Amino acid sequence: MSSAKTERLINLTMALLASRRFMTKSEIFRRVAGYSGNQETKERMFERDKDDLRSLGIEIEVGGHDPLFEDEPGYRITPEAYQLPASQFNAHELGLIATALGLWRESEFEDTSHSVSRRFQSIGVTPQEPEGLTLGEVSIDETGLVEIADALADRQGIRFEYRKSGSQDAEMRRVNPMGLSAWKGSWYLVAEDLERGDIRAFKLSRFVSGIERIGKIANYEIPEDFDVRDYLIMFSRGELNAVIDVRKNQGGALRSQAITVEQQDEEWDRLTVQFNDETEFLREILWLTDAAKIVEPESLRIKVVSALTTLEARYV
Amino acid sequence: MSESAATRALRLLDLVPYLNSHPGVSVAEIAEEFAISRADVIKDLNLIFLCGLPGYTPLELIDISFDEESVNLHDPQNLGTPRRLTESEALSLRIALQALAELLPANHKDRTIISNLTAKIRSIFQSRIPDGALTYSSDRQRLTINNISQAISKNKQISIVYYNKSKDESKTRDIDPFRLIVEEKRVLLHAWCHLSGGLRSFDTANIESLEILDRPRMTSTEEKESGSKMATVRWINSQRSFAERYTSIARPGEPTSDFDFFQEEWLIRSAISYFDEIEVLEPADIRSVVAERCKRALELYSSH
Repeated sequence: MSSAKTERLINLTMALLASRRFMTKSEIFRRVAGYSGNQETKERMFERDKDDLRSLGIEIEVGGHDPLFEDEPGYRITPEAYQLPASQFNAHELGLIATALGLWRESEFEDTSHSVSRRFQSIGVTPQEPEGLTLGEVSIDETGLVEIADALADRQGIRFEYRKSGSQDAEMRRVNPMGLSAWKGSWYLVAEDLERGDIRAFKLSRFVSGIERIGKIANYEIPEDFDVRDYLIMFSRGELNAVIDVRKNQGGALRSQAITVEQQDEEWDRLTVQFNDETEFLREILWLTDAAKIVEPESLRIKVVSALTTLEARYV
Repeated sequence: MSESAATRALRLLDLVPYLNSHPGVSVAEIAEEFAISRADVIKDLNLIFLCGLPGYTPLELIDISFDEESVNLHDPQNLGTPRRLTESEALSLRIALQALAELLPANHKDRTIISNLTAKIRSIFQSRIPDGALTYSSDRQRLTINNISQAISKNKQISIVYYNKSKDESKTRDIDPFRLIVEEKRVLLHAWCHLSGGLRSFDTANIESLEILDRPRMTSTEEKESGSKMATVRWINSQRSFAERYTSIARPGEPTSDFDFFQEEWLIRSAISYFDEIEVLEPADIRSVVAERCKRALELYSSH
């Protein structure tokens, strides 16, 4: 392990961070400890150091036209781009951050979250532990989550083998990740499918290969109003449509699968619901009895009325 | 293990602010925090010692003194503040915060604070990933069910905050869990409720929070004595999906079946929902309730 290189990387970081102006290469070679050898060696050293620091997530700004070194670009690291803005977080928030990061314990995110957690602890403010939290055992992790989250953070395309539901065969998919969602105990990637040209949801547990990066970093933008939930509805969506009036505060199961809920009046809400199995759906409506009223379709309405008529006659 | 110079540099960049905020920390503690050997800690400290700002006189070097027991940083130069988060680190924190908010009880005061904090982290770290791109909805119900199962197997009482939909109120109840009944649309918990002093069925979806108490629960034999009722149903045809769903019901080829039930409301609604399979014969007094409910529902369709 070469200590000299580590030492030089730190000296370079400190020098660039201390400098308000852009430092030119010749200035760096002259002033920062660790650059030696002929010009070519030093240049190569510096290029590698720059790449190393960037790969660690340290932002090096390039620019500045010093009239004396017109053709030479300058470099600097601004405190805003390097430092955690410590004063922005109070003790209560730091406590919540520490508790939240603890959820990643024993997951693929553990190393990242430990490092993040330590940096928040190094702010010098004692976090205030949140009260009344009994979280029990939870797992918020899934294989591949870190790689996908990293690709999403870089806004870089990925490819992977994916097995569609109900299919035996896997297929290579090439996508631009746009969002991640944990939903009913599973993780989903919502991404633009580069072959099909539309946005789709992929269940992480159906990935059958590793994840490979494709394309450039920062290759696409994610619209500000993008919402993964718009694309996840497909997992609950059925083939058949119904419009149902449901009494307020009732029909919880129906409400949770509704696509739209609109207030009708003081007493009723109007729900749009999609379903697959008519028999099961009929049972659910009947379960609610006088708390639900079918508006559409007519065929379902007839079935409900017929069942209720039969029942009334049977139980008088 | 060969560590790259860059990885080591990153550790040193984090070590300086850590030492800055933990004066007097021991070498052993540092070793544990950074998951390295004590020998490596010493090597790191000796290296930090050599780093500094251009000029590199004692005034510009990072100033540190240490022995095994106590490490003290006297001057961090310009490395005293920890590194900010990368986009990917901020993303992992935002997901974790969303998960935490989801896991808190619905009315917990920290939920709003967490949601503001998540937005703040996005803005501070200038994330290009919008809030809508990350959602975490926990399977809270699954968690609840796991905990109930645990309490039943350990024979413990539990304390729940239960949301009563029809009354639109939440109450804390200490209960003795008996068993979970899995239906297709919901999972019910049959339990003795100490608040109401009787047997109750709770829809696990409406349990807002749950705590396993260190008190023994009543066992299920006592449950039977304390108040289940007997129902008799007539099978209208050969379909038995009702019986398949409620495994406690015997399924002989008989025209009728008897079974225990705990909540009249459940039996009334089953009679209506499974109109094509069962007719409830006993208890006879719920029959008129079924008829009345159906009449009221039919009025919804005839009134316009």
